Amino acid sequence: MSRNKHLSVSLFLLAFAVSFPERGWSQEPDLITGISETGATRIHLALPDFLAVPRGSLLALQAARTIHQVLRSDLHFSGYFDIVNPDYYELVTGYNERDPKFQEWTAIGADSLILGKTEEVGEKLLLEGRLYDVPGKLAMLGKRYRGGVGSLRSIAHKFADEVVLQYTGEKGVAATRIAYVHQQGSNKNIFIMDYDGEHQTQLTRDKTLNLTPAWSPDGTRIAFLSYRNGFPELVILSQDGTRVRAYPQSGELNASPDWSADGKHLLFNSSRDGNAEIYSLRIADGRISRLTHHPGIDSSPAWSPNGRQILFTSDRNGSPQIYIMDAEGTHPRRLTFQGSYNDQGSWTPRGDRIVYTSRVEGRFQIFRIDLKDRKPVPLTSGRGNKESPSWSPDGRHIAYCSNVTGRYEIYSMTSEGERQTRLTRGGGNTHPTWSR
Amino acid sequence: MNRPDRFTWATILSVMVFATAFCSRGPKPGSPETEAPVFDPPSAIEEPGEEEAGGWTAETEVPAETLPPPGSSSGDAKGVLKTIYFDFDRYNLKPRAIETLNNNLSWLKNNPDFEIRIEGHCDERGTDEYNLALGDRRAITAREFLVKRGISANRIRIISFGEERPVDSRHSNSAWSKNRRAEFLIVSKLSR
Amino acid sequence: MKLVPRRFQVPCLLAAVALGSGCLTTGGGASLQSDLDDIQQQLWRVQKDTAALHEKMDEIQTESETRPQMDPVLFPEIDAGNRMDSFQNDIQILRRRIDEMNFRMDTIVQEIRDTRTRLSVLSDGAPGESNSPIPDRPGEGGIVPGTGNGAVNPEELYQNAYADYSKGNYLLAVLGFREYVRRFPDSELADNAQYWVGESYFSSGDYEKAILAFDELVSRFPNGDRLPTAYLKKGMSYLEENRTPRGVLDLQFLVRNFPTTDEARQAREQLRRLGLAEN
Repeated sequence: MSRNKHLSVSLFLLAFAVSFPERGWSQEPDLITGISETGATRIHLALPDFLAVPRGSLLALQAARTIHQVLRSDLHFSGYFDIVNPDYYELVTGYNERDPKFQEWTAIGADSLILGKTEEVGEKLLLEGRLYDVPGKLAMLGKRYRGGVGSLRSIAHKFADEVVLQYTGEKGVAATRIAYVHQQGSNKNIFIMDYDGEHQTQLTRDKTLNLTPAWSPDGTRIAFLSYRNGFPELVILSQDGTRVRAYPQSGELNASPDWSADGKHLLFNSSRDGNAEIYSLRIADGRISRLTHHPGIDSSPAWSPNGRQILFTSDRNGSPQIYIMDAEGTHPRRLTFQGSYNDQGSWTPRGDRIVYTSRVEGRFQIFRIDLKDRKPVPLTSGRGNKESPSWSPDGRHIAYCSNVTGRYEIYSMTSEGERQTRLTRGGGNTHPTWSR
Repeated sequence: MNRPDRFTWATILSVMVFATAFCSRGPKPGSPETEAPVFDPPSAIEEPGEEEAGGWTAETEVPAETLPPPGSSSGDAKGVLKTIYFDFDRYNLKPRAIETLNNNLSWLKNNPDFEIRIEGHCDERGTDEYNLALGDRRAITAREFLVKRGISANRIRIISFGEERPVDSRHSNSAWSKNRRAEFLIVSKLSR
Repeated sequence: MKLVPRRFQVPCLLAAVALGSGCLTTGGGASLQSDLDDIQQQLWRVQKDTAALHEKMDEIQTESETRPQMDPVLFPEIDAGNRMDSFQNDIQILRRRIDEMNFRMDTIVQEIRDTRTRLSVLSDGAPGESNSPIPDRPGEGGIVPGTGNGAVNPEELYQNAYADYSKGNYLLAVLGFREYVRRFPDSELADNAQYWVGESYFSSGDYEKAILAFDELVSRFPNGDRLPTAYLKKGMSYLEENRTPRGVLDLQFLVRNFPTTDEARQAREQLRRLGLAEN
């Protein structure tokens, strides 16, 4: 496990757009736009090896390889791209950024082309990445980054996000991170890692339980449940592991924090009034509002992206089911009717879908409900439990944990349940939450 | 306070068991990266990616040292206050639990100087979040029973461990039924 | 569907709108609905684009502030003066693009509104609307078949409006729920739909319109089960508008007339925070 704490902090990034002529809005009216959620049609991207200068610089060569490889896997993960078979690249010769040879790339079926160059400059490395629209014969994006060897992966992630932005109008998720719980003996601590499972970093180092992490929307803090003082309390931690704040309560439940999109409120689950209810905490002054009033269990609160609605789990009708209420705690309405155990509702950042965990034939599986038709769609099936679904910020991927291999690991998949990919090893990894 | 000896003995014992429980919950030797997966048999050294690495339903014997410590009063004769058990996803008291609670109640009535803690636990089959609430609710139910029958609420503190502290970490019906419980721990003697 | 760079998206979007309107004269209600969905999806994307542009502008502005201190040796190809010029230029271009986007967005909203109106005109002629089965709750039964002559599935109308609300498209949500109330005033969900009209305005921060919508709920559905919530939200709207006395009246009315509801609890809490008694 590599542990690079300075990942983004030490990163000295310089990015500027190489100015390319913009095309007018009114051209190409015959093109039909849109990206299907399933990513049925993908962009055929040619991604030849990056150039390393000066010639013979081992550092530059290594950087070129690393960045190329990370970029490739990021773009593949995004679901928007199919990488053109590299065997064909040798058919295109003599290309460079001044003359990318669009015709020849078209000939091997590329819609899109990325040319990259790494350069060793003093102690630092320089990366230039350029994105071209091959049929349109135009440069779409030019970026230059400067950084140390330790920041190669994150530079690649940033460039990948820019490329996705060009095609979708929305940044990719390559630079996002996942917080999770890792079990060590009978203790559990909060860890964070890159979205692809790299750079696993331990955040808490307690000989006790730390559970249910939740990111602040700006990605600088994590709220979670800590037993460090012998009873469950909500704790807010900065990314370097410094305790920002704790909200102690004497011995009662104090669990499942969820951060509002404006970063100002935390929802949480507490029995401070004698029974598990949902509360909202205003972080600025610590004011707590009670939102639910029911003798049954109310738990697992989660905001809607616009902060106007709240998902929660309640057994008010006999078994744990997911409900939605207004942000004021009023107008509760049942969302799930299928299955006898539904929990861990999570609202897509786009607002129109909800994923949750449902018990089917004794195992937990991940389901999705689209608010338009309200039909539960199973995203996982088969052996083992799948739990704790968490949306990527672009709403196209879901992180979750599963013990399908016999021990709990973190996985990611698309919002359709495709391409289920394991991100961790070694077991005892649960409760992933994707940074916004 | 007619038989102080016995109470002293009980207190010492409870405190010892309690302390043992907490010590063994302490750190495992080794670096923070040391991974000691509770749910894995020691022979499972194959890569986790391999599909044959045991299903969820496999009832593999777990070596004692990786077992989480048992509660201080898990039904053996030494515990003064007995544990009560619940059905899956339930927090209502079964007849047997009421019987046990009545025994615990009389002990509490006879020993008004002691403060207790009720720990609510669940089996591993629920979700983490809901189990924290459910464990809490189980402890609350037990507390309500005692408070209704005259025990002062401020003698009882509650805590939920959800599914985090199983007595039996195997994945079987019998293990699960042992884990769905509320434990009663003597925390301290009230100073008067 | 083929992916294209996003700068082509708006023209295509307009093409899609045109396509959608074209269908009006020939196509059936079901396809119209899906066209509308598409357009809404596109609109959402344009909104995101606009937001992204705003962000980019901020970025450039900060960059233009920090850039002059950078090491000229690192970037010999651009001298400070040129850089500033080019940044100013970029900002201007982006401003124009945002204006353009906003204009287009308005156009699209107008298009959608027109389409919705036409859609309802079309289906007004549909027979048997008044005795259409209405679902008890969204998500079960009571589907009115969309048989090409413009019949509208009430469940779909309701759910689409609700999905719009959840996505934060409050204006579209208002249109949808209004439409529902207008077409299915006797259905069980009509008072809910009217509630959502108010709640959509409330969520968008348009408290004046929210108050009107909640008033309408109170007068049109005096026995509806959304009444306490309407009083609460109305009271809160007045408070947001700094018309505290009016707000307090509504909250006190709520506490007096629906004392056992969750809404009354919330109202008491609000009153307590204002330092006021319950009635």
